[in-house]
Amino acid sequence: MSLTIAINDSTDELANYVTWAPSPLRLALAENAARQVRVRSRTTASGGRIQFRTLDAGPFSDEVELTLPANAAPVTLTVAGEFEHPSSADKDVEVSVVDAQSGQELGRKALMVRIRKNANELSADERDRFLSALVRLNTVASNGLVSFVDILSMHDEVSDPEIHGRSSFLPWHRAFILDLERRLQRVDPSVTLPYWRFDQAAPNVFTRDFMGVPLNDGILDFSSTNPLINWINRLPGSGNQRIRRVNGARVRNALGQWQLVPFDPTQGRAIAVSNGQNDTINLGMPPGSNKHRFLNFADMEGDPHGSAHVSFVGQISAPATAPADPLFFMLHCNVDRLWARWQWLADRWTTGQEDSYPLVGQGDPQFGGPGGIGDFTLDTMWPWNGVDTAPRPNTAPGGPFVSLYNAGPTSQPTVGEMLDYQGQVSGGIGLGFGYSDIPFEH
Amino acid sequence: MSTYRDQVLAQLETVRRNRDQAVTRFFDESLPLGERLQAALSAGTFVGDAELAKATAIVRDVKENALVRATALNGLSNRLTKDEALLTEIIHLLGDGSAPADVRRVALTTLQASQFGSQPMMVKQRPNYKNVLRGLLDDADQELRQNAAEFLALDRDEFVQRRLLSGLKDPNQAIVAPEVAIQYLAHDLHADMLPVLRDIARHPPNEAAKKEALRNLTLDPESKDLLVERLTDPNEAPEIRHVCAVALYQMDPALMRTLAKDIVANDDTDDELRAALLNTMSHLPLGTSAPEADDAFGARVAELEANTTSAPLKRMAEEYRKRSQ
Repeated sequence: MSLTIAINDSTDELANYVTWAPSPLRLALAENAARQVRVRSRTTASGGRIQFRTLDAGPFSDEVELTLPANAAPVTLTVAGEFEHPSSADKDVEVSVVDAQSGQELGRKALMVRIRKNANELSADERDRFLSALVRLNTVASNGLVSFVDILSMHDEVSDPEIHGRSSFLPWHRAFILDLERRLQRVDPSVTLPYWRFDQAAPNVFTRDFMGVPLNDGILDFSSTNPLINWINRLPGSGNQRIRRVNGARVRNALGQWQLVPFDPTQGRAIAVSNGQNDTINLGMPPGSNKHRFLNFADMEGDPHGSAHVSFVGQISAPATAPADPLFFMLHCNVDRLWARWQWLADRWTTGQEDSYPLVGQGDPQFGGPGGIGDFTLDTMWPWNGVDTAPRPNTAPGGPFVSLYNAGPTSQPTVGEMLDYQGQVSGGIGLGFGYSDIPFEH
Repeated sequence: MSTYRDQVLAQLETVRRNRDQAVTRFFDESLPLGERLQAALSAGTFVGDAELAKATAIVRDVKENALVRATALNGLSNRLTKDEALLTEIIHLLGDGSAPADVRRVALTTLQASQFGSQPMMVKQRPNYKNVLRGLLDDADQELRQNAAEFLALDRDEFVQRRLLSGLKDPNQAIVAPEVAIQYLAHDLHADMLPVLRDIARHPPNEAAKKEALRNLTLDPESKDLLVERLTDPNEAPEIRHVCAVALYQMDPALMRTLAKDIVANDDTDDELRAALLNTMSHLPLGTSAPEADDAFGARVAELEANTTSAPLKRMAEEYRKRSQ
């Protein structure tokens, strides 16, 4: 084939994934003469949609026309997923390049608009691919190791002071769930982390086919076809427990009256959560102010984040054990989405701007905790920096950050690298993920 | 910026105004109780010095209606990690058996939520909090007892472990049902608990306790024969048989697969169990080496896929076939 199509500056199949943010699309025509071509997409009714532009800025369109020089001189344009039209299956949309005059197709490449979605709106196939990848990540691989054990070790009692109760809570957890997501994508590249809207009823999430339904004794019950019947609790020192998740029994009815009955997450919001989505965003603008500040928004670590955790009783209701419950990652995906949503609405992407993130510069390596090392924009984050000496935790599991073609962050990411996840300010493709309800706008 | 963003910003402003009105209504003592409580559903958490002061005053007022106090405390959850005096007060309130149960239950939830914020003051107060939780193990309120026991067990607290073990040995001392006690103990399973689990597996007080005991004997080499016995007993409950399969897998994956294949191939086996075992064999590998080729079993699975009327079994047969290729 005389036409080479490279997405994300790579011809590797694993690079053929885009989000709402612009990705480079490089074309090279190995012919003796230049050609005028049209670049467009081919998709199915349920497939993702993509758009193109030839300049670094300006509107995207369904089709662009350009000249491809002779002799494989490359031309780079950009491709991006069309907002609100993510893929539903791997490689369900294609870039197609045709001769502008004859209409002859010169080449095509399949890709996926890979976006984090609302867990309650997943198709059965999307749900099962996610669960299957998660279970596989939690089994012994060919190298004799269990990748998921690294994830558990990053969020235990040892790491607690490093990752909670300080400004870097949000950037660190963004990196943490991205690390997990990339490990999942090494098992199945079509998978993303879904988010659980804990401020809404989730009738499709808390079922035997997905996150399970508690039996009378609190143990989760799954259907025979749910991959989670094979979920092994690998918390150190634990037996072979199935995950426990008892629905919190302190319900406020529609009249606000307290009742001692277990709440039903298929019918209403997580029972301990007081701040819904918009209340959470509004936390960023304190009373008497018309300016959003990270320091105020960060209160969400308590409610809704902590409250979502303790809406149940079980592994998810304690910091050291919470990641043993798969719901944890969907909970934290929503926490991250809320931060991303606040960033979008308040236009808070820029490191070096205290309203975007308050601790600019480098922390003092002698001190940990709030305002200490690991809390500042230029500080590398544990454990990916490999530091296992005080004041950091005394282990550093997992190694460098999992790479993904040309997406950020670096192998030892800093706090600041986690802010501009779509490359709004920094350019580039950002961190390689996006949310179904947050567009790229720049 | 887009119309979509403008619309969302407008929604935020509406929610803010509604929220402020809801807060005002909640604090308005002239309104009926029901209206105040209902307003609080839209109030979110309290912010700003004025709201925080009013809410704190309500929580401290022992003459105030318990539901209003509970609601006020619920709205202070983001304050607890910033105000050590308030935090200490709420820990004390949790342990105060004379305080209304509604208020104490909210105290427990908000304090446990605060554990997710590891500020120095939270770390400092943790021993105090744990001591109060231990006291709740004998509280009159069942909800508080049971949740306190679980939070302590999640924290691997030795005090609650001793109480739970005593309860398994002597039901008169039980603080929770035996199947729940086993689950709590399994958060930090010690070798000295295994004889108790073996005994419960063989002489169970109920089926749920038997299931949990068997599930957690995966770490006990002495129980391998028992797991095999229960897995292969056609009269055993299907769910318990599957529990034994997963437990046995962690001891001896090859043996589990051999036994599971026989069970799946047998048309007298419950279809849900067959589906579950195929699911397990599809997801749990045989050690670190490549899956063994087994043409006879593969053919049997293909036959099941083609002929079974059980949708779960058909689906799992297909899944197994695809994974084996």
